[in-house]
Amino acid sequence: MSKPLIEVKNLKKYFEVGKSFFGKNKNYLTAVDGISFTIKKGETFGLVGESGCGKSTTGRTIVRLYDATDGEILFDGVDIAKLTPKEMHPYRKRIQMIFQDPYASLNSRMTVTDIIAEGIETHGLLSGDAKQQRIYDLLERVGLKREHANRYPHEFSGGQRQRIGIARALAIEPDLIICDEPISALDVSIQAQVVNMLEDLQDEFKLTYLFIAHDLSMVKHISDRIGVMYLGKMMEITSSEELYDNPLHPYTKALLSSIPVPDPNADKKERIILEGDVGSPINPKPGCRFASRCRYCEQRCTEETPELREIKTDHFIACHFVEKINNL
Amino acid sequence: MKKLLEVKNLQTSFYTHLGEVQAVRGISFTLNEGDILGIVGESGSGKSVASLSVMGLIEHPGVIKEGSSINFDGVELTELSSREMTEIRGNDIAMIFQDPMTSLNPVYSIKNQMLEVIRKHTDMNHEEALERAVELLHMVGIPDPEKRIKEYPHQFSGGMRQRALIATALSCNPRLLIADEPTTALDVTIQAQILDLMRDLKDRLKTSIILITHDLGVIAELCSHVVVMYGGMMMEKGTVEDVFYRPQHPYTLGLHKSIPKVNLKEKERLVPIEGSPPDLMAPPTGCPFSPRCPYAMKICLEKPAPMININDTQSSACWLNHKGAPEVEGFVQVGEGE
Repeated sequence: MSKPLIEVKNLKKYFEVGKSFFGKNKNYLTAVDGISFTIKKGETFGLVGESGCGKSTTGRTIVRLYDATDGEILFDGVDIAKLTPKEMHPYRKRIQMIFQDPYASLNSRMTVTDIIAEGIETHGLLSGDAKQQRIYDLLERVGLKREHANRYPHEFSGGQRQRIGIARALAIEPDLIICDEPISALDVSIQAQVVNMLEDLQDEFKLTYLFIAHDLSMVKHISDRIGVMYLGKMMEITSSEELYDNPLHPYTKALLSSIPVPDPNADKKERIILEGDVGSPINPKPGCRFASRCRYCEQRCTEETPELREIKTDHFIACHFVEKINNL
Repeated sequence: MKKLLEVKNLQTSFYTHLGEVQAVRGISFTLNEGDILGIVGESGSGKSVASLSVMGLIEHPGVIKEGSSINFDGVELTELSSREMTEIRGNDIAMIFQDPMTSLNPVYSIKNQMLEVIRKHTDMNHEEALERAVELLHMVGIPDPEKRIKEYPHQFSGGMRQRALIATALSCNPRLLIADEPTTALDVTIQAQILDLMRDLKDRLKTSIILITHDLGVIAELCSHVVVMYGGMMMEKGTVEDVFYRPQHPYTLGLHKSIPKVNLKEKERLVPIEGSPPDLMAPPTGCPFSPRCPYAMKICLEKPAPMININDTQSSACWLNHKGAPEVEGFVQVGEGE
């Protein structure tokens, strides 16, 4: 439990946008701008934030769907951010991904068997009857039936497709699964089915999860530790209980107070309604990314970008005035 | 309190090439003036079709079936001609949709789209209408409305587009506003802004609101009454306190158990509803929830339960609430239903 499986250090991912014809005036969209976190073996690390905060980009950069602009991704001590595709190959077996949209992430021209078998074949793990048996076992493990093996994705409901996606990720026995909003496209009653299954699979196969979502209550439920992102920066990292009981960053506080609680008489805590919208990640201004919406903003916040600091044991915050705001 | 809208036995079907899709199968509810009624349900439960039926926006191959009644302040909407309905729509009943990106026309400015609505429904001239539009944008909290009104939808963020749509919907002081998942496409901090705005509008303008959503949290925040739908039918209705604290239908109970509670200290395992929603092309003969219901009895598979009144405000469509049902913990056995 204690050894870190993955260590992300100062990870950056910029996208070029609006380049002129001669390549002048390059603009950069700073999707992920220098974030660091570690995930221990067997742990679930939740990554939350609003749309455009870079949480999905972080996940995709870790599986090398994107090449990092800068920074290190240490997986079991090896920096996988700089490996060549050939060197990366064995690591791909150990990191898998479950995608958000169960409709777009399965090839509609492949049968379920083909979809699940693809990874097994690519890594040359099993063949023939052993492979087929493995596929049947996986299908049954994720709550589908053997008969489903020869069907096509369009014959399944959203929840069942997500199960196929999970079976595909499990097929090559990975260590780390990146769950990129795996339940946000599903109905409420189906979400709980999938979440429970992910938890069971974690116990059974000793999996480590990076769980990316915007549904804060679900992230709290599934995660051991949570990182809160805002416009490409990490704002706060701590255990999920601490984050919900004792949020210290002004953004986290606002985010938590905006969750609608399904209890009509819940003691309505002082609701912090943020003014305005999320700023643009294209050529961001120096200083704290949250400064324009923060009610505690001072001059220093617009000039100097706050670093992530450990304020309490295992509680990291990126805010200049966190002590002052919280009377620490 | 005065009744504003009374829907009785609403049935809406779509006649497709593959057969009849019974999207709404007999729902009834009333909305009092100044109230916010929530309709909650999963995808395919018929909640959006129910609201489109009230708006008179069901188009071929959809049909509101014989025997359905939608009474808006004494006027039977199902009997109106399309011209008469156009009069009501926009003036008395307005609607905002889920996706603020697709509800606005990208090639016209916000000004153009707002003025079109205002001038269609009132006899204001251009200047008056413009003044009104600016005032509305100001009311929904768009900064610098004189300047922003000239912009195009792509220059607005998601939250601002939803604000602009709310402003447009409110332009003729409708008495009923139907909001179909108004915050689903928005981020949670923006959602809080919009919910706050809707609560404020209800208080200030006394607009009655029907809020359609799948998020029980949003319902708890905003609504006074709730209708729970599943498989095109009504499962339970009542005040929010009834439905959240004393749910009498196994589906409502299942929904509550399957969402994680943020304020809980210890980690509790979720209790999902097993199975998947029914196929509306061939819905189960009995209660639509019976195939997934842990309490299902023989009668549940044969005949859908009638709405049984639990008390003055709450009623539930479950055979467990029937007088003759066996006693099950958590469910009261009271009546026979209509």
